[in-house]
Amino acid sequence: MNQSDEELIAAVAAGDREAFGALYRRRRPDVYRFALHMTGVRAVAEDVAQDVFMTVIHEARRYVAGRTGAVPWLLGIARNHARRVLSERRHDPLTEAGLEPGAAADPMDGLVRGQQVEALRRALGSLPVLYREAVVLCDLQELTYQDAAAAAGCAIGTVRSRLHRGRAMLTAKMRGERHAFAAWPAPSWF
Amino acid sequence: MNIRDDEGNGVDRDLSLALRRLDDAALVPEADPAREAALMTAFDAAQRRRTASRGAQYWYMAGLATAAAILVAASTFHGIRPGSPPTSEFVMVPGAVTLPAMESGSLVRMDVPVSMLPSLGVTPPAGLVATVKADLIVGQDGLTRAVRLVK
Repeated sequence: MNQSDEELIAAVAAGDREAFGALYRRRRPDVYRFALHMTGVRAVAEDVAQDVFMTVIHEARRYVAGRTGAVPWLLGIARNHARRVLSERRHDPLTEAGLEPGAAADPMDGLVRGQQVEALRRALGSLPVLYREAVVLCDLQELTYQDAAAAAGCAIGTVRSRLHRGRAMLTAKMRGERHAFAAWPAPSWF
Repeated sequence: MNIRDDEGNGVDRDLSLALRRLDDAALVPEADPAREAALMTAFDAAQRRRTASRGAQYWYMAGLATAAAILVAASTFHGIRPGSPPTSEFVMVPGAVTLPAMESGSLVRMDVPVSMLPSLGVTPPAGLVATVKADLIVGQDGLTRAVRLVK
């Protein structure tokens, strides 16, 4: 299917089943990665991605092409679901992605190389949500400031300041975990 | 990676590298067929609901037309003869579909200001008139469900 994301969403709104399947297969990875970086738990990321596309089924008609891109729109929905999960589990700390009980067969486990990534994941997960989502949207999802602002529902300047603050906090936290970076190949990190 | 040059420094470059490694580690597993199937089922169910809703709207209109016919017949039977024939079919007033189902009601003929017709979903007739005669179907709650113009 060669349709753009915007065309697919319009087709979904018109009841096109194939378009919905195509949109899901094309954009689920983006939504999943965002949710994973925000929540740090693979199973939760799966649930968030599922909730996002469930929302798309009912809300596709509200999407206005041109007002915002399809990916920022989807990530904006994902942000709301991820925030709800994080809020609900505020007193029930989420298990770290690579250390989930019984998750030895997690496909991610074999891909997480060393303590550095784990340390950075911990640092990212410990950032306040506002700063974390700015880092995830801009630095990991690689959205423009404008698209990140659309996804986060705030002004571009707000995204920039949150991103700046988030990076600073992340750097400070990583310096605090220097021991975890003993084998880090890039010495200038410290 | 999206660490901008204008903001870049040594720390940001290292942070950029570290974040890239983190993102590389976050490989996306294949979509779970069961989850995808559940979504497609939900999509189908939503479509069925929408179709049913459209069907309900159709039957609402059909019911309204029947009610109008009965009311007109009853008026005629009781000797209330309209002074002039209608010039149009009944049209549903905007928003009427969201009102409670019509259980009983009455047919009311009245002079309606032309300026009010668009809000009733009726195109005003040509000519410089201030009011037009119209038949209104008024439900048990006093709210107008449909209207037609009278010659």
